[in-house]
Amino acid sequence: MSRAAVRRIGSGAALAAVLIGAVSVGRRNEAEPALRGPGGAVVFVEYSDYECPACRKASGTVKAILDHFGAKVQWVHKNFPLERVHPFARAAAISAVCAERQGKLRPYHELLYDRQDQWVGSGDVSGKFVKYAEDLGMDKKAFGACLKDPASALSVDKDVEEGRRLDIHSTPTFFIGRHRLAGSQQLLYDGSRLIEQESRP
Amino acid sequence: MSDPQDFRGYRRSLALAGRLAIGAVFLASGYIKLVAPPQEFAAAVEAYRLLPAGWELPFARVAPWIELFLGAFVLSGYWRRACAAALAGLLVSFIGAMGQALVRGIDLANCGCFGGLGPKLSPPQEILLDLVLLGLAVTVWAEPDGSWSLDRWIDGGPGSAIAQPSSRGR
Repeated sequence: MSRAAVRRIGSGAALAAVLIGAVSVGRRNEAEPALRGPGGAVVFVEYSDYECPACRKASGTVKAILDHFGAKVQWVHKNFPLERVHPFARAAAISAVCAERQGKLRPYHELLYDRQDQWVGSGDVSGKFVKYAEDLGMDKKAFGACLKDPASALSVDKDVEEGRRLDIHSTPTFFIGRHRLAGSQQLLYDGSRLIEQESRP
Repeated sequence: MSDPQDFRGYRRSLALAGRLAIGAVFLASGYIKLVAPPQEFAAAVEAYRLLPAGWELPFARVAPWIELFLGAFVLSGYWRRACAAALAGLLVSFIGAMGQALVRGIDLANCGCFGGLGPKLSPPQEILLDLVLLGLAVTVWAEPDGSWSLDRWIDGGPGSAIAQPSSRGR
């Protein structure tokens, strides 16, 4: 073999080794999401941002899945506001925490997406959230107090921290068992199939 | 009076700068995608509505490796011209993908919901950037004289990367 050929192969192999090594080091070991909920229900975790149009698009599929599977699925919503690009997302996330405290997370979650055009960019976003809470029959005063409670903001921070440990960079991101789905299309194509698969004993 | 050797020198410097720039861009782009979950890049690919359903995830697993290797090879000047040509081909396909999305009215100006580093560019801005990168790739391909490249060292010819570049006799 010629000297040039040896150099060619050697440098190519060295480059490849460095690249593959760098990628291996860069890929973090992902934390594992929970697999099973009470009664053996499949855990279906959603990380989303209420100001995100892609999350709004996915919300219809999430609703369809929850309606279809009922108790076979335990839906867990986690807030992951992308504050860098969505200035109202954090406030919306905090309001969702407050809705959850009054046991109205799911209807409030759907309403926030349905009315996303109304509250995003609104001058009085908190006022709108309190109005939505009232529309859903929540205690308006308690809801308003909750919005200002530092514990509510901490809950959002905890979700974001957890999302980062799971190597989440985009919304919506879903976990069905150990399977990760990113975006509304993946949920639409694979969500139901994965739930059926994970439901099998 | 301008010296043709000066012109060749400037051309070589431009090609070298272009090679480093475009190599670094693709190396970084490939690396960022590879260390993130592939489902995220797959979701970005889905937005273009180009691939048949179910192809996005396999594409998302493979394409970043191509970017990474081509970027590294161009940066280091390994198979310089062939890799520059391959990068030019990739850029033409990116421009084509973005263009067809614009023509079909597909909303690619997503909210940035796909995370990522750096400023968020609009589709026309991305096309412009890709055109600039395409120009650089063509410049690198067209330059016959690959200074400071692995190819030079491998071939052991004059002006190899480990030797001083040949001086211009005056």
